[in-house]
Amino acid sequence: MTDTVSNTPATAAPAAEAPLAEHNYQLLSVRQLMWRKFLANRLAVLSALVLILLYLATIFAGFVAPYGPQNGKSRLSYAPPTPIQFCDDAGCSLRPFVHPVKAERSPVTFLLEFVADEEVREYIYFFERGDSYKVLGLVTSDLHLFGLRSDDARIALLGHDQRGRDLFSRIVYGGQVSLTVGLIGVLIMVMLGAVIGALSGYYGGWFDNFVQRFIETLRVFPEIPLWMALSAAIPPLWPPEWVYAGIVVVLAFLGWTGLAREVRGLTLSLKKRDFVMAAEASGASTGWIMRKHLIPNMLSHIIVTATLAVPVTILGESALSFLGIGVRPPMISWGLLLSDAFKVQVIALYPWMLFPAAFIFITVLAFNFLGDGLRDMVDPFS
Amino acid sequence: MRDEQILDVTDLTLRFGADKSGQGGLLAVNNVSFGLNRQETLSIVGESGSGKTTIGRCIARLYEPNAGQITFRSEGGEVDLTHMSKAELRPIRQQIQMLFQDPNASLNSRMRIGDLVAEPLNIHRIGTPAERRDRVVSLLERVGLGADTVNRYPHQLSGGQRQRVGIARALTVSPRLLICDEPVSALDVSVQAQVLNLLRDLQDEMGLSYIFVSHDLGVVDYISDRVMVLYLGTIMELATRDDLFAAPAHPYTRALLDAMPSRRDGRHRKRKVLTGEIAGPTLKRQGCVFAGRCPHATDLCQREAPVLRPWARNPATSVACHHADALDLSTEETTI
Amino acid sequence: MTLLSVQGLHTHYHVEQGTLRAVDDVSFEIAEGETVGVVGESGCGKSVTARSIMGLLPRRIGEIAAGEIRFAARGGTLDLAQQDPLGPVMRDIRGNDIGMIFQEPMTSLNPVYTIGAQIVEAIRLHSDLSKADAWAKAEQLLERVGINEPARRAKQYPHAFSGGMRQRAMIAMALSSDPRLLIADEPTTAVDVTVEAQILALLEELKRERNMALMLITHDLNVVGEIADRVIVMYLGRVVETTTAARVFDDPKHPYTRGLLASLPSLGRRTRLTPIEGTVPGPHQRPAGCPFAPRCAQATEKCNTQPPTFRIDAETSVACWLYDDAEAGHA
Repeated sequence: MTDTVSNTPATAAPAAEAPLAEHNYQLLSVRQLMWRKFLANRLAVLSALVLILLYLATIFAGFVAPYGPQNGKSRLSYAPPTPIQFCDDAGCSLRPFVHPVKAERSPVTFLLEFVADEEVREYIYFFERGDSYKVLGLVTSDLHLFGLRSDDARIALLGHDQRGRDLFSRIVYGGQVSLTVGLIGVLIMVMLGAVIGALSGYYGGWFDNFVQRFIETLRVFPEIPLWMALSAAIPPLWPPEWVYAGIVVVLAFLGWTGLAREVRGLTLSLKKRDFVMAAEASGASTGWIMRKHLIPNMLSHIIVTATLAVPVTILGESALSFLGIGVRPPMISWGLLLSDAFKVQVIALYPWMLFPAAFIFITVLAFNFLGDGLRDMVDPFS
Repeated sequence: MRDEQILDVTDLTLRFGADKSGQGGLLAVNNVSFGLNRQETLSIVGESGSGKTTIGRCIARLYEPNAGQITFRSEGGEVDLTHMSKAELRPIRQQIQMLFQDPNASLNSRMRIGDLVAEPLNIHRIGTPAERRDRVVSLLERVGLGADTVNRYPHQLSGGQRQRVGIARALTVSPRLLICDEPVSALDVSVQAQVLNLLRDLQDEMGLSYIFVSHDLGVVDYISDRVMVLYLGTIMELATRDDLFAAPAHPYTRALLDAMPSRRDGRHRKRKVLTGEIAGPTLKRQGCVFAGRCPHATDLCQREAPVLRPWARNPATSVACHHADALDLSTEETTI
Repeated sequence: MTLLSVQGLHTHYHVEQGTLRAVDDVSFEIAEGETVGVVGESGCGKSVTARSIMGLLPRRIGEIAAGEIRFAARGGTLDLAQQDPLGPVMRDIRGNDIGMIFQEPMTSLNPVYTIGAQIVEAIRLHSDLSKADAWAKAEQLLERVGINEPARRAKQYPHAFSGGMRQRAMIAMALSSDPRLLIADEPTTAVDVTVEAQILALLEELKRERNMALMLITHDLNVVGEIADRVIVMYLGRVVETTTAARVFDDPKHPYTRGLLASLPSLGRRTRLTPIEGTVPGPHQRPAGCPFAPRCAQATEKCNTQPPTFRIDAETSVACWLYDDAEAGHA
């Protein structure tokens, strides 16, 4: 009784048999595999869409923002947001409208308060003419995505600041600094970090030693005070554009170290892989191995690291600007806008002044999710 | 015979992490000398840490030996590989190619098969792009892969197919010598045989010489002409395949043969197996490296390292054992 | 007496691309004190079969879809397929009645505890021995598996052990509760050939001494020939042939078994190897009928349907249409 034999021919497959996915792992190219991996991460895809939207809004800031960044009315100082409405007591309309705000003295406290003027409907029109601006610094235009036709009443989706300027418009313009600081800063970081890291990992020896010790030295200092010290060194009389560039350089200068270390580690591990050895055994030169084997295999990792470094840089700029040592007016950045909400009183009375923080929050989160998605994607064989 | 030799290795020594004078560090390869004839297969067998892979990599000059000569003879004349710069080596590298153990790791996963196979041609700038393409396709077909493989990626192939790609890639530049580093140990048994047969056929067709690094004596028995048994970087025995398997001269060779799992006819026979394990290469050397595990070891073995010399009973075999002439290891021993 | 009886086992893996039939209608038995070798190439389901028995399938991915695994435990016969893999019954079975050792002893041992402490833990999980008694037993076990100076070695950490000694320590741990069945999953694949011989000899000795059954999973037919009584040959999740260890070499029945033997280089073999054509299909390209049909030189029309298992005689059965007549003659 050691053997058992099932004499029933071909037992029917049990119910759990699900149809196999059409796409076969083995039939897809590397690129297709990566794309599939990325699409499978819903959060990353959503984040990518959000970021595309944010950057588009930044490029066409003049068009998206209904008003110029400095266009304010002092009577609207700290006036609340004007919500978009389709219906009010007088009935409904297909064209959205806002009730303009007016200042009234409260019968109770005798303080000046803003209330919505329910009597007046200001309709919102799309592709309206308004303040003139330049697209990418080239074409002058005065077309806006939306706006009111009235000269007097104003639309403010996210409220007004102290000088009665539309906060939404200012946030859109502020993105031009906040969002680009991340990208440009990271670009500099990648160039510094990838080149130094790759060389340090590939050649090793005294150069590697020197670079690693230098990086350690830089990393010993706490980040924020070092940023502060460096940006405080930017001459106060520089034009705002120069200050902006200075801030980017300061952030990049302190940020490349992490990337350099990562690239060095990658180079070290790739260098020992059989396929690099195979190329070497075939007589490939160092340049060839770098170009054909090391860089293509590292590129995706560098992209991931860079993506995750963007939010750090954005937060760095925000922190500096918030502390008043980053970009200076008339330039606008989200950090600078937040510094208007510096006082507890302001937050208590005019909570909408915190909206720039929401934009920072969403951007940083989106970059992090995107980075996670890319990380899954760069290793499509797992 | 001498003219036919394409590779002559003498006193090859490699220490990992040696200081500038070539001392200290881990002694991975210890005074190894051997020759390789045209169209011959020399297998290097040994357990992990025996230095068998390291010798292969020294010949491909992936590692820099600390001492010794590696003389390579080809139509272009005779060169000593150990004293050549990277630039001088480049033309020689066309003639010495490598085949790696894990076809998964030795093929860059981001390159298409066509580019992978063509890479040696591209590196050495041989032929026009059209000629290269023709060469790649004809080699892929020769190793049993269709021309459509060119546009595929390594992950789209099975392990055996990947190893065929590795072979095609090594052959694009028409090498004379192929260093095969455990080329079938990562493959399934049924596929392993395909690759072994392919290697044998290619050798006959192209007049290749093989250095075949392996731990599997069954595979070695099948493919080799001569066999070198290595223990802790030192040659124990160097003999023709027939002699080695029929009448091993060294107790370690005997132990390896006995250890091979194989069908036992007298079932459940009590066997005594070699005790202990291969020691780390850091241990201070005195005497025979195998003495600690050898059932025949004497004081002499502990004291003095034996030199590799022709065996009295069969001068074609070289053996490094003080007692080789006295021991009879030809029959399988039930007890050591 | 039958110790383990697996009947119609189906194990499914739910992966991104769909459901894999990792083990597809597998039946076999293991008698008390018997050594059964399970042989097959990668993807044949041999390890998944072992994991199904042990209740060690990856959670949320692997699932026993059908079949029964009847095991004669000390407390009576149980169907392991019906037990909660994480429940107390399975935990008890795993520690007490069935032991398992793995291919990679390094990853199976925890590097932050001494070898002794890990064996003591295994002992105390299933017995109420005092710490001192358990430690003494651990030393005994280490000595039994051939580790010199067990008292000193027990206090060492895994990294101080060589590969072969780690595998011995794993065996000691698996033996701590006197299992009736030891499942060894490729126990010698990661070690050198001389050490492999030592481990196989040790397993055989222990098995004899304790009347323990041994289920040895391996890709190497030679290992099976070395120590097994019976052999189960698997291909793509199915058992293609069940026979004795002697017959698998002398009189293999299934074309796959024959192919494996013809492509196996072994000592003294100089004639040209005859490989099996093609490669093992990927898990998603499973043929509809006999899994081996696309690579089989003797395949016919009939092979488009899955063959049943034909019994040749008391010891040998084979799942191949070639033996349809034999079956008819036998019946």
